[in-house]
Amino acid sequence: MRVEKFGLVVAAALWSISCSTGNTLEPDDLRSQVKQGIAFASEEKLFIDRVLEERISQNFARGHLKYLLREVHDAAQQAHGAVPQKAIAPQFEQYQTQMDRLEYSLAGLRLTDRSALLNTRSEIQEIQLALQHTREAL
Amino acid sequence: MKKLLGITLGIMTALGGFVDLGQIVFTMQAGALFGYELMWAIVLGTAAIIVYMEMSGRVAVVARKPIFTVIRSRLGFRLGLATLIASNLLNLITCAAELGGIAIVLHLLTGVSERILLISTTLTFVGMILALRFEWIERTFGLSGLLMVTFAISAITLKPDTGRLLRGLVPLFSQPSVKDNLLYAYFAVGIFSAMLMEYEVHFYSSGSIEENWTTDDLSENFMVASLGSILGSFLTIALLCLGAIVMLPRGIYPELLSTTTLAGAYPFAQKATLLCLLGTLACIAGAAVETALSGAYNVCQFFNLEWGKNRPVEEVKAYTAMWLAMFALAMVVALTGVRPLQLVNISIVFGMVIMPLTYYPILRMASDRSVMGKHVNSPMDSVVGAIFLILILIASIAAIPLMILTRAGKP
Repeated sequence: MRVEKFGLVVAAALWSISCSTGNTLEPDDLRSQVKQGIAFASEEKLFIDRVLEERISQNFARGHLKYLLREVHDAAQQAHGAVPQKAIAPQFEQYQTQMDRLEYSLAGLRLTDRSALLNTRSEIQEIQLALQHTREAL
Repeated sequence: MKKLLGITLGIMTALGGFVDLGQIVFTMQAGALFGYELMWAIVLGTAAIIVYMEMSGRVAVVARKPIFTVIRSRLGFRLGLATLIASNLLNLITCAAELGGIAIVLHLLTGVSERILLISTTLTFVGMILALRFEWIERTFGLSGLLMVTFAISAITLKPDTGRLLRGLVPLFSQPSVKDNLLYAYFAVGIFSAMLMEYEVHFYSSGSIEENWTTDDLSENFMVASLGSILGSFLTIALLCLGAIVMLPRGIYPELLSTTTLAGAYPFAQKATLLCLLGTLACIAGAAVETALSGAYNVCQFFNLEWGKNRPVEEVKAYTAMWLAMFALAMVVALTGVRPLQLVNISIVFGMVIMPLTYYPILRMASDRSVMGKHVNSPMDSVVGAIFLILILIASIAAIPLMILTRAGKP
């Protein structure tokens, strides 16, 4: 009996976790996602700095870029699939726009072109600032 | 002299094999979110793993009973079987996560496709396990894991704030919001659990029988369990520091294995990135092998089947088939593309949930004078063991609610 109960608890926990990623976005959810967006932007800047300083190999840079892009893409997709509460609709729209910009900037990143890297870094800085404003407005 | 060399080698091996994928990521994430504030969870986890590892090694040596033989005798068949199934599911998930992590690290090193790397790595491990004796498997992965010291050197170079580090020894649930306090508790439980990963203890207990330890080796058991874990915990502290120094000020939340490498090599040039990658590779490779072998040990010990890495394959067919199956299934899970860090999250949380079921029987057996004779737990051992049982129970009860409330640690 105890074994069955344990199984039920585990199943209920997994179900709850899967349900917790539902599509109606509350302010707290959006705040968390914006924070994640800011973290991605910050990580991209760190990454570009490391590439510019030639502190990482080309293989590492290409691989890390691929994984980072996948994470950002997933976050951007999640945003497109979500419906925000009315009260946070403007902030949500701003978040979506910035995440798309972030994904676009990463997808077009040319690791061997120094000036392009510097330009992308500046753009990411702008995105990060915009996301910070969004966060403050929430 | 030979004994001293053996102990040193054992300690170095334990140190190198102390850290795995879950610890690398979870601890650095904790540092990135809370700075040094969860230092106490590392200290608590280290003390718990020393107690658990030493007791299980002593029980295996004195009573000649490895963990799952003890579990069956103390919990009975039904609950014991449920524990076995849960433990092996966790081993499978962890093994899949580690294999996925290895493919990522090798991809970062070579640029070759992860799928090819995943399959070739699994086949290489199978070949190595078939070819090497137990002690060489343990030493190869344990000693190469010492490359993780690069992370510690980086942390020291970046000069952690020792005052804050020491203040982190005191648990403080004083985050600005309820959500942050829950997150803090989730990471505390996560670090505690990641340091107590069951497969390490199961592997260690079986290893002491594989290596034919006798009661004369109990001092070695104590030294390896305690010094190996203490030195290993310094690596974990280094990961926390790197999270606090490199990630926290920039607001980065490391969700990728490659991000932890960036932090590990932060103060240095390109070669440090290579060393960090190799250290990570060695650690998670060791963990992959240990989880697969632990799965086989668990089943054979529970059903009283013949087992032993150092015995000819034809004498231990079920054991060999079991670890081969563990690798095959883990590889299939990893090939589905599920992210290693998601799997690690699950294995850390659910590992804590079932921890009391494996810890309690060992504590009972180690305190049983009729079995352990003069090597029974001292009153002090029993008190410390009971305190950790209570802590493990609390963490076990809190793990799933915290996982749900924090959405698996989403900041």
